[in-house]
Amino acid sequence: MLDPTSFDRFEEMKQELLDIIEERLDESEHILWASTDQQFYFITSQIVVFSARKTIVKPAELVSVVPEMTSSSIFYHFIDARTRTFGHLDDFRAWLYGFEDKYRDLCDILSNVDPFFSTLPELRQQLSNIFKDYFGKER
Amino acid sequence: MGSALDKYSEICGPDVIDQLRQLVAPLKGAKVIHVNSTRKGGGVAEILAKLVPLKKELGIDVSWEVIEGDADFFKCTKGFHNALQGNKVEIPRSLLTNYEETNRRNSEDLRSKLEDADIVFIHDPQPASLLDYCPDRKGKWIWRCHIDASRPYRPVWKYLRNFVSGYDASIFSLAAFAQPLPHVEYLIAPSIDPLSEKNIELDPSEIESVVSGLGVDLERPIMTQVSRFDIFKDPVGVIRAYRLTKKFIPTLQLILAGGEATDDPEALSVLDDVRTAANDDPDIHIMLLPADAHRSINAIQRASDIVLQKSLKEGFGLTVTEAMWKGKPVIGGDTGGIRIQVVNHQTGFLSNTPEGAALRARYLLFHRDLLQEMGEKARNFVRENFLLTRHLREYLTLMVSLLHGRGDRIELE
Repeated sequence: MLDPTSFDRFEEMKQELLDIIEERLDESEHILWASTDQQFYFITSQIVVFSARKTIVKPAELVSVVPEMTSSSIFYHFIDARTRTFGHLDDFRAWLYGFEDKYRDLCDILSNVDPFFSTLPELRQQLSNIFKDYFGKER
Repeated sequence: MGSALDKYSEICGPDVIDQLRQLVAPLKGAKVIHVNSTRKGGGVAEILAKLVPLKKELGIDVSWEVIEGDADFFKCTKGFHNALQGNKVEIPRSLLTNYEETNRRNSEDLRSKLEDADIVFIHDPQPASLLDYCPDRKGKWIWRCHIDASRPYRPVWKYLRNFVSGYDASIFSLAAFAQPLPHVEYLIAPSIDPLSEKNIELDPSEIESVVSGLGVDLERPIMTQVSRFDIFKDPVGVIRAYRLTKKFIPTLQLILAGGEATDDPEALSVLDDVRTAANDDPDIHIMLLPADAHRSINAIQRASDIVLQKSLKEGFGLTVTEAMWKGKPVIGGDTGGIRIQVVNHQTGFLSNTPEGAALRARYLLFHRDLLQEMGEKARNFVRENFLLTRHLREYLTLMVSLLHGRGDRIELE
């Protein structure tokens, strides 16, 4: 298994991927093939970062803001963030750690969310529930 | 009456329109030109007729030019089209000479405009050689290929490649449709227009009137495939899947809706096979609809419980997105563009056999709650990925990317 968020640069991940593929190909005694309709395509992408024109200053505001976030905002802040923040953190934790230890328990809960096994709307729901539960209790 | 963007905002949400406005900001002052070979008729003209006014409304200085040609020119470009799709078409040298000469003649009128533009989109092979006649172009030229060129007839592709290699970039609809070229290649999938007759919301009474008028009972489950009577759409396989499902759900009805019978001997032969397979089953409704029966198709899709697109080979297959937009899970063949529309087990099921399709249909008709849930996911998936607004956003992104650098990310203010 390759964790894409554990690499600092895409080039490193690409190289690791190629090495793994080469290694498996080296093991094979047979000529490998794929039908024309089942090819593998290497595609690159550019991320476009839009302003959502929303700013919050208090962590408790996450309760009302997260359920309204678009799927692409969830992707940007919870998945893409891991490739661009120090320590490969999502944006929520990166921000909450800035309040010193105050939200450490919330960060622990967030670190248990695996973002790669649910759809973005499901992820939004999961995060919304976490923030609602946490700040509901806090109040 | 609001603007077109206001109408799309009601469907897609204001955030989507705001993103389009943010993308347009770096394009302020840029001159953009689209060139194709017809103002009306065909998918390219249809999409330009929608995209160009929306770009204008966003404030882009955009125009749409159409080249002119004689019968021989269009005979030649029809040959290009068929050859790119894989048919072995020999095109006489005289037609190729006329093709080049026609582009040269058109360039006389268009040259100053084209050379002055910041971005020129040339659609399909018809105007592709215009580039050669505009040596002093200052902007970026992009060749937009709307055709499935996954397995082109090589002699014709070699000829066309000479022209398209000189472009700054090209666009294909799907990775599988692209050919290697010496420049950056973009992928932009087609889209549907939620405001068109084929996709607009319909009043339940209209749906009832259309479907009942066709002899279909709305009180009983309906399975539908909308497509040409073409062997690769596997209509006989659909009938087989229906029969297997009907053993468990005896009230099931099947609609096979396609275009009116033509003089195409292949289509007529497939239609004969379909009628034989249907064997006068009163619950199988074979419908030959005129090309402009968009509202009827819309009503049929909305009245259906499940939609099939059991293709054995498919280009993009936008009928899948049309059904998904109406909240229907789609059971589709595991081929071509169906694969990127049907997310297996999420927005529908991919299936390679009538038996597999029947099993999935039974499963969905038994688990009505899941059918509903999958249908909702399908509609949301289309809202985010296959509406005209996404199509427009990708054109704008491509322009920003070409004019303002090609890093890993584009950060907008």
